[in-house]
Amino acid sequence: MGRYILNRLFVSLITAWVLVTLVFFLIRLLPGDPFLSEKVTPEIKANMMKYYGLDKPIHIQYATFLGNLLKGDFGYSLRYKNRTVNEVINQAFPYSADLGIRAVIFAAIAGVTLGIIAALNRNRSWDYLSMFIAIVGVSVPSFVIGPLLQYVFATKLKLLPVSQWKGFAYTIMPTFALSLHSLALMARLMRASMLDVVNQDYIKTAKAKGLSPFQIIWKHQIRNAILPVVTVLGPVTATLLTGTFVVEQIFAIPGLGKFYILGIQNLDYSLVLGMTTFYGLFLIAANFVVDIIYGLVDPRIRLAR
Amino acid sequence: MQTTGNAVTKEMFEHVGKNISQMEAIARPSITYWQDAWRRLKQNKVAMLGLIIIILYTIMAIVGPYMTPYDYRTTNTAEIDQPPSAKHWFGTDTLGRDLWARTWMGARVSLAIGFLAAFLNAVIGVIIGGISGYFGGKVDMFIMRTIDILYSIPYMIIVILMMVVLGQGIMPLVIAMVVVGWLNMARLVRGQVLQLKEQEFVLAAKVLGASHSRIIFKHLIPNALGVILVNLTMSVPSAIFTEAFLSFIGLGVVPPHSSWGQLAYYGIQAFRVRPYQLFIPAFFISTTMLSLNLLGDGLRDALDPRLRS
Amino acid sequence: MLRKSLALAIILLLVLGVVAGCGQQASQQGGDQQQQQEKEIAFTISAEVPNLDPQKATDTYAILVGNAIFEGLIRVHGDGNIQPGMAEKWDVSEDKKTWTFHLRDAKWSDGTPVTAYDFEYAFKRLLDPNTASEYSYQGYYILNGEKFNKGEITDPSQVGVKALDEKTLEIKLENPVKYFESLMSFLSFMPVRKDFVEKMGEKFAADADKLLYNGPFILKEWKHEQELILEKNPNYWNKDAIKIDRVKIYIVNDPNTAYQMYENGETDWEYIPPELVEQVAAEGKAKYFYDGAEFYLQFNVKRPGKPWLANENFQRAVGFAIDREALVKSVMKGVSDPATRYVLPQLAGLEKKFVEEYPYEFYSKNADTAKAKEYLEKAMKELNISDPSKLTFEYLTDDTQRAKLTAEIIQDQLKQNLGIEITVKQVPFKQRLELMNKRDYDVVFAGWGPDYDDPMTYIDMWVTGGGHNNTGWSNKEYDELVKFAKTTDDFKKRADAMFEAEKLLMEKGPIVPVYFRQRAWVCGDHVKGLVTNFVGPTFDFVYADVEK
Repeated sequence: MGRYILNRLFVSLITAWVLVTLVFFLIRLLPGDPFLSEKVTPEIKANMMKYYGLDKPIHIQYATFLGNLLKGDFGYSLRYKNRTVNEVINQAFPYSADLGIRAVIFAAIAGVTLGIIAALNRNRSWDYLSMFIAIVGVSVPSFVIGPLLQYVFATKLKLLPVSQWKGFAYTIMPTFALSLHSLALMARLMRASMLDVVNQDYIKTAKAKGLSPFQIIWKHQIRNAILPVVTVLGPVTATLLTGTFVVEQIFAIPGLGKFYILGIQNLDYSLVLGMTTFYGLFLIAANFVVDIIYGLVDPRIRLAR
Repeated sequence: MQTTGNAVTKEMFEHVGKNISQMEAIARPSITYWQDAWRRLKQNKVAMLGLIIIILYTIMAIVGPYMTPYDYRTTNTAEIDQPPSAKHWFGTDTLGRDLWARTWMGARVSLAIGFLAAFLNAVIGVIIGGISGYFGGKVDMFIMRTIDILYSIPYMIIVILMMVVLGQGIMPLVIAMVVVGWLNMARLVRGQVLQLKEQEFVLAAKVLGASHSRIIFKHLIPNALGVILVNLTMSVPSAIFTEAFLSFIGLGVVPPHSSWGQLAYYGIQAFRVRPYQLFIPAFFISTTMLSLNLLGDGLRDALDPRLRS
Repeated sequence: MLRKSLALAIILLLVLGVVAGCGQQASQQGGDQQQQQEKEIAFTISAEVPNLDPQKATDTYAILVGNAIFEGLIRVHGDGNIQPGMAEKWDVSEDKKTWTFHLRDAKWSDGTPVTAYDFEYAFKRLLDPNTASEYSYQGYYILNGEKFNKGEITDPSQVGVKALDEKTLEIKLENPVKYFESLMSFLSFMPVRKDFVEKMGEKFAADADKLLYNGPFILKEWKHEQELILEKNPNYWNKDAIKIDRVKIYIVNDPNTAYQMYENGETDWEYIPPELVEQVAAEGKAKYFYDGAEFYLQFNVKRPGKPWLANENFQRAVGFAIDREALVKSVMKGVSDPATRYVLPQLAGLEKKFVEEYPYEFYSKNADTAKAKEYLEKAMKELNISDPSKLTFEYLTDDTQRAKLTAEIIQDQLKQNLGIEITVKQVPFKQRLELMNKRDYDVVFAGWGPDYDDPMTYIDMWVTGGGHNNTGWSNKEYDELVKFAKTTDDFKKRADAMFEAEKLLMEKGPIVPVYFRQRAWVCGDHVKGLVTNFVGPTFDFVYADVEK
C-alpha cells in the first residue's frame, strides 16, 4: 500500500509540474507584455521589466519561479503592483467558495426535489412543470438570466439588493443565477434515475413485503436513485467554483472568477500562474486523495495497476 | 387412475411433414438495432418535435437571410432601433440593420459552431477515451493526467493563442473549443469501455485473435454508441453557449458576422428599452437548447436496450 | 467510478466548507448604520484601483481617489481653476524655467509636518529608474529628469528639484512649460515621506494603513475588489471647506448593475449605459460632460505590400467617407461629438479654448462622398491601380462592444461610400497595443486622453521617433514646428506653431479623427458642488456637499 501511495504521489507531482510549466510558457506566448499601455515608452517599460526580473533569460525566470513555487510563493502581481498573488487569492477565493458552495447546495436540494416530484407524478402536470423549469434552466445563458433577475427583483419589485455581497439577502440572486444550470441537470438526472429504480427487483420485493408506499419511496427508491446525482456532485462543484465569472461580474461580487479573465487580459503573468496552480493543484490533489481512498477501499484497483 | 371419455387419441393429430421453404421464412421483418431505435424515436412525439425544430432552424439559417430584401450588414442610421414591423419583421438593431437577416445569419454561425465543435469533440474524445479505457494501466494513467492538465489550463489562454496563430474566424474558434472540449467525452467513453471490456463478448473476441483496434472500434465503441450519441446531442448546446460566453468577454466572431450569442449579449444591455432585441435571439437560443435536450432525452430512451420491447 | 466521485465530492465539500467559513467573516461587515448628522456620498467605479502609490499609479481611478486623499503643491478644481495646495504661494523666474514654491504649514495624517523634502523625495522617486514608474515621463520637464530616468546620469542631485529648506522647494525645468502649474496637481507629483516609504518597502500603499495622507480625505478602509471608504481628514489645512464626512466608493464592473444601484438610491451619481441614454434624456435627467478622450484612425504608412496606406489622398478618401454624425448617432446614441479636426475642443489656448482662438474644420460631420471619391481617384492614379476594391485593409480594434459597433459601421460606410471592403480584427486591449508597437497592423482605431490641459499632449505624439508614433510617419516640417513650440518662451508663437502642425497633420498626416468622447451621466439633485474634468480626476468631489 505504501508503495502505491508513493507511486501515486509521484505521478501527481509530475502532473502538477507539467501543468505549471505549460502555463508558464503558454502565457508568455501571448502577444504583449504586462506593462504595455497607451502611454508607456519603451525605455520606461524596460525599467519596469527589469524591476520585475522579466528582462532575464526565460530559463532563469523559470528557475526563479519554480524555486518560489516550492516555497508556496507566487510572487507579486504585476498589475496590482504591491499585492502578492497569495494575498489576492486569499482575499478573493472565500467569496467564490461561499457563492459556489451555496449554489451547489441549492442546486442539489432543489434539483433532487424537482426530480422526485417529476418522477412520482410521471406524465402528469407536476412532471411537465418540473421538467419545464429544468429545461429553462439549461436553455438560458447566465448573462441573460442574471440581469433579468436583477431588473425584476431589485429595480422593479425592490425586494432584493441589486448587487454586492454583504449579507444573506445579497446572496439570493447570485446563488440562484449560478445554480440554475446545475439545478436543471440534477433534476433531470434524478428523475431518470428514479424511474430506473422503480423497475428494480428490490422494489418489487419491498412491495411484496407490504411496505407502505411512503416507506418504499423514501427507503428504497430515493436512496438508491440519488447515487447518480451524487456522482455528478464532484464535477458540478468544480464547475460552480471556477465558472463564477459572469455572475460575479453582474452582481459585483469580489470573487476570484474575474481574475482568471482579467489576469489574462492584463497579461499579469504571476497572477495567471498563481490562479492556475491554485486550481490545478486543487484538482490534482483531490484526484490523488480520491485515488488513495478508492485504493484503500477496493483492493482490486491496486492489483490492476 | 381412471381414463375419462375425452381422452387424447392418435386420430386427433395430423402429420404435416417437412416444408423446407416455410421453415426458413421469417414471420416478422427483422429489424436492426438502429431501425428499432429510429422506430421508437418516431413514437416519441416530444423528441420528434425537437428534431423538427432543429431541422427547421437549419433550413431557415440557409434560406432565411434571402427572404427579406435587407442585407444583414447594411447599416441605415435613419432606421435605428425600430421595433418589429411589416417592413422589418424582427425590427432593426442599434445600427439600423435588419434583425431578421441578422438573426438567420447568426444562426449559421451558432449552429455551425455548435455542430462542428460537438462532432469534432466526439471523434477525438471517443478515440482517446477508448484507448485509455481499453489499455488501462500506464497508458490510462498518462491520458487521464493529461486530461487533468488540460482541464486546468485557463481556457482563455488557449482561445487567444489560437486567434494569434490561426487568425480570427469561425474555424479558429471551433479549434480552440475542440482543444479542451473533448475531455468530457473522453472521460465518458473511458468509463463505458472500462465496464464493457470485462464482458464475455470481448473475451471471446480476444480468444478468436482479434486485434486491439478491432476490439476497440468494432466491439467496444459500437456498444457505447448510445451514450456517445446522447452526449453528442447535449454537447451541441454547450458549444453554442461557449461561443456566447466568448462573445461576452469579447472573443467571439468578428464583424460583419454575428451569432445568436452576440445578438443576445447586445440585447441584454438594451432590454429595458427595446425588449425585442433580447427576446428574439434569446428565444432562438433557448428553443435550440430545448430541442436538442429533448432530442437527446428521446435518443437515450430509444437507444437503451433495456427499454427495448 | 461512483465511489470515486463520491469521495471526490466529499473532499471538495470539506475543503470548501473550511474556506467558506473564512469567507463569512469577510462578508459580515458593511451593514453598520451611520450616524444621522454625518454627510455621506456614494458612487461606483468600474474596476479595482490597482495601485495608490502616487509615483507608480497610472489609472483613472487612482487619479480620482488620489485627488481626494493626497494634495500636491497646487490643486486644480474645475476647468483651469488653479488653487494653492500644499504651496501657499509660488514664483517663477524671468526665463520661466525656475519655479520656487513656498509651502504652508500642513500635516500628514500621522501628525508630522509635510515638508519640501517630501516633495523632493517624491519627484526623484518618480524619476528613479529603480522605482520603475510607468508615468516617469511626466517628470521629463524637470532639468535632467529624462537623463536620470534613462540612466544617462546616475547622480540624483543633478536632477532639477531641490528643497532649499523645510518650506521652500525649487524646481528647474529643461524648457518653459506653459501648463506647469496644472501639472503640479497631477498624481505623480504628490508628496510621499521617505522614512515611511522605506519602512513599508514593497507593501507601501497596498492597504489603507500602509499609506500617509495629506489631502482632504483619508482612506479609512480598502476592501479590495469591493469598496473604498474615505473619511474627512481632521488634519487637513483647509478642512473647513470640506463638507462631506464620508465617501463610499463601490467597485462595480457591470455598467447596467451600477446604474440600477443609482436607481435604487444606493449611490449618488452614475454614468448612464448607452442603451438607456435616450430614455433618461427624455425624462430630462441626463447630464453630459467631455471626458477628454479622442478616437481616431491611425494608418501604418510603412506596411509592406500595401502602399496605399501611405498615400495621403487615400487616407483623406477614408476620412471623408466616414459619416461621423451617423456613427455618433447610432453607436454612441448621440452622446459624443463628431471630430472634424484633431485638437480636442476642451484644451486651453492662450486666453480661451485653443479651438476658439484657432477655428478650423478639415473634415465634415457627415460623409462627403463626392470629396471622398475625388481623393480616391487621385490616390488610384498615383498608385496606378484601377480597381478600388483592391485598396483594402485590415481594421484593428479592441474587443469591446462599442469598438465592435464602431468597426461595423465604419466597415459598412467605407463599402457604401468608397466601394472598399475592409476586414476587421478584434483583439484584447494588450494585444492591440502590442500589434501597434510592433507596427504589425494596417489601420487601427485608437484613442488618446490628455495628460495635461494643452494641445501639445496630442500634437507631440506624431513627431519622428516619438515614443507613441507607431505609424512610421515622418515629416520634417512637423518635427520643426513641434520642436519650436516645445522650446520657445513666447506662448503666442507657440500656439501658432501648434496650429500649423495640426493643419499639416490633417492634410498630410496618417491620422483621421473620428469622435471626441462625451459621457452621459445622472446625479441626484441633492448633490452640490460636484465637478467633472476632462483631464485629471474625472469626478472631483472634494468640495461637494449634500442637502438633506
